Amino acid sequence: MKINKKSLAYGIAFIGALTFNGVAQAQNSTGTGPNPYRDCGIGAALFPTVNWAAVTSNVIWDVGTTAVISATASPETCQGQYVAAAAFIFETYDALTEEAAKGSGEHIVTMMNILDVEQDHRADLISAVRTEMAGQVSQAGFNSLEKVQKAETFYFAVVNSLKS
Amino acid sequence: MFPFSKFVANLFVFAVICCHVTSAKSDDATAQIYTEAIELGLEKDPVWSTILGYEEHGLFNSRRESAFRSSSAFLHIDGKSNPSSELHATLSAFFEPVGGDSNEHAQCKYRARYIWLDAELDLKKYGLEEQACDAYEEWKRHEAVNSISVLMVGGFLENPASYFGHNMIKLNTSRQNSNNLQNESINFGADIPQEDGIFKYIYSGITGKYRGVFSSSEYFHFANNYGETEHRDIWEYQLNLTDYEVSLLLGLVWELMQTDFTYYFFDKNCAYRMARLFNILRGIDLTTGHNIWYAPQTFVQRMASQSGDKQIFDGSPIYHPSRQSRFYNRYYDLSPDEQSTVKALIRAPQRLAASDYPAIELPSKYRVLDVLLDYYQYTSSDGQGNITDENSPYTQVLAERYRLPAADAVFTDSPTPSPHQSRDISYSAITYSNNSTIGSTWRFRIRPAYYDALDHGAGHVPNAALSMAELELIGDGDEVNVRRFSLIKIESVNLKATGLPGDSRRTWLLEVGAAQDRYSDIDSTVGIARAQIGRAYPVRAVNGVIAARLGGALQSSYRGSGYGYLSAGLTASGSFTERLRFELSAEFREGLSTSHEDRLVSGAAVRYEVSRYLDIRLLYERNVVNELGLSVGAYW
Repeated sequence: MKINKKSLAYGIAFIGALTFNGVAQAQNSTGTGPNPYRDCGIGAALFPTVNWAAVTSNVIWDVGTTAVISATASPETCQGQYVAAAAFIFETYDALTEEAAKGSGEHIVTMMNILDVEQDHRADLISAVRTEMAGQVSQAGFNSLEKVQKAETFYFAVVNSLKS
Repeated sequence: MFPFSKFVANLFVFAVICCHVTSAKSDDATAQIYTEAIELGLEKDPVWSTILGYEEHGLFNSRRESAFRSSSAFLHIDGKSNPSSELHATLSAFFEPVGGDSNEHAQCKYRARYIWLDAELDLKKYGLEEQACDAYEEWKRHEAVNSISVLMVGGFLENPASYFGHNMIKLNTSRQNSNNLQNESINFGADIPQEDGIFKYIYSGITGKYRGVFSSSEYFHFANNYGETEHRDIWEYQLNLTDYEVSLLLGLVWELMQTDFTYYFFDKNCAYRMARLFNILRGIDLTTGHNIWYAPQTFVQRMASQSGDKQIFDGSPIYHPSRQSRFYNRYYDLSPDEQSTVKALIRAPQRLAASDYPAIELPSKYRVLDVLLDYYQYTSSDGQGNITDENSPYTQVLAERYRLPAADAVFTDSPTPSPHQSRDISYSAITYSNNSTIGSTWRFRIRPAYYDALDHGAGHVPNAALSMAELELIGDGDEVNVRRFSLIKIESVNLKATGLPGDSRRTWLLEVGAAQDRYSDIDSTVGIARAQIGRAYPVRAVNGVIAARLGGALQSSYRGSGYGYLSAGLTASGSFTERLRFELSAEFREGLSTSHEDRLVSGAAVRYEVSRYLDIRLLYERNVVNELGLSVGAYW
């Protein structure tokens, strides 16, 4: 049987997506708008390739324009605090998740500022995210996820906690 | 019925008359203000020169014109070199009516000009109507910026452009629901095409082929990139500025972000452009009299050394340690038992999942786990925030940290010297020596930047070496020759390396340039490239290190010496006291060809720091013959 290369690629991508969904169970089930990572291209386009010199000599970031280069959603859709939070989570994921594990930190505060979380609700949010991420991180296979997938898991742990 | 066409015609005439009247009024006002400005000498004021980017150019600084590349940055056709014309055009433009977008009005685009000229001339008394500049207000978060910080980012040996560090400024706000990472930071850098490789980059950076631009983005981008990815420490100097000075600086940055410069790697670089911003304040001048290079450390040293009315920094900078520095500081803060636990968990990470590790108290667990997180980030990250080893136990450590109750680990901070406290970056020395064959010689050494194993300072890597374009000449009264020229020399030593897996005590050396093949002949200078790699072990008693390396060199031949050799070297360096340091070295060289005589090259040096600006060195070197010297060096 002759297999079309394009079909094969889509098939692999589909299986990959299913696999990923199996690990990252916290998805956008509560009407939070587009998935910033898939629909707005965060992670795919924010740093498509890191030029060795660009990181120090030509640091011109603009999430609002670069992230939507490979987006399927419109630039208008890919604006707002949720997309900004998603970009922040992607870029600072390691520091953020470590602070979440510890229960506090500058990055956690920044993320909650971006999302305009009221002071009274912050402790509850951190607690809920800790519980969700403790389960996610302990799952077999989490270690081998791409950074953008880990960031997406964290993002939905936050957003779903906010919306619940 | 009043005809519509007549109505339109009358309206047009009315508009023309009105415009004419307005224009005539504004022309009168401009003429009056301009006269006053000239009487005050504003066109020659250093603030006006700084805003317009005026600098000396050409041989012997014979030509004075703006460093802005684009002519569109000026309102007058002669603005690039004529400050008076630009002043008149600016004042005139301030009175222009608003077009479609008020953000395009001169008062908004040329915000520093407006703020300064209004402060000097009180423009409203001439009937000037202030325009709403929404874009500018939004960028500077309205009135929320309450202070400005200068940032000094440590060096980065993986990028030649970053060997000497980097400077930025950060706009600190007092907004609710905002913190430090969200503050806006200002960067100046070369606009480098993605496809340019390292050699083109170096060439273009040195010869001014790139445009340099100011840009602005949230601080977390930089903090994450420098601190977490590149493992570079950051020192933050929060400045004492008045509200007006903050406002004026913001206006200047806003203007400069709309223009571009020519980027030069050595002098008109990030440090220079950042330093130039401060020429707008209190008669401060941080750039005049600089060498043909301008380093980030020079900027913070000059800024922090301002005194009297010009003092804009007072106190200690805030230290933001990189991931690597946090790892070392925390690891060495652990008790011996805690360090043993760290090592045991690295050997058998599966014990984490089962919580099967020594029954230490909860606060100690936090310390151990946090050190492990830093350790795996430092040793397993690809530099882009991805743990490269799928089998890395990082996630297991993280999961264990999530499982424990939320709490911070407590560590004791270790004091870290700040870059502004260091000596100046350039060094010159004169040496009198006695050579067992040649007799008396004089040597003159000049090192534009940066440090060697004997004179590392704050912000440098202890017991390591980094120099560029270092030249030493030797003369015996009859002739002068090159003793040593290092186009670049890097000696990498990690004194803090823990010896844990992935944090080996690796050391390496790279030097490209020229050197005397032997000290018995003054004219034996050959071109040479040498490299070595090995291991270095700390000697804590003297804050020093012993390094053993293997390597070799390729060189041009001198009287049948051959074109290279293999080498085995041993060096030791350290400090007897804060001011008294030593270095011992021995290197056995085995020639690649039979014509090269194998030899042992050795040396010993003791350096005494007389002051921050002066040192004395006692030098012994043996290369075929013995040489003993005494040098006096100055930093500048």
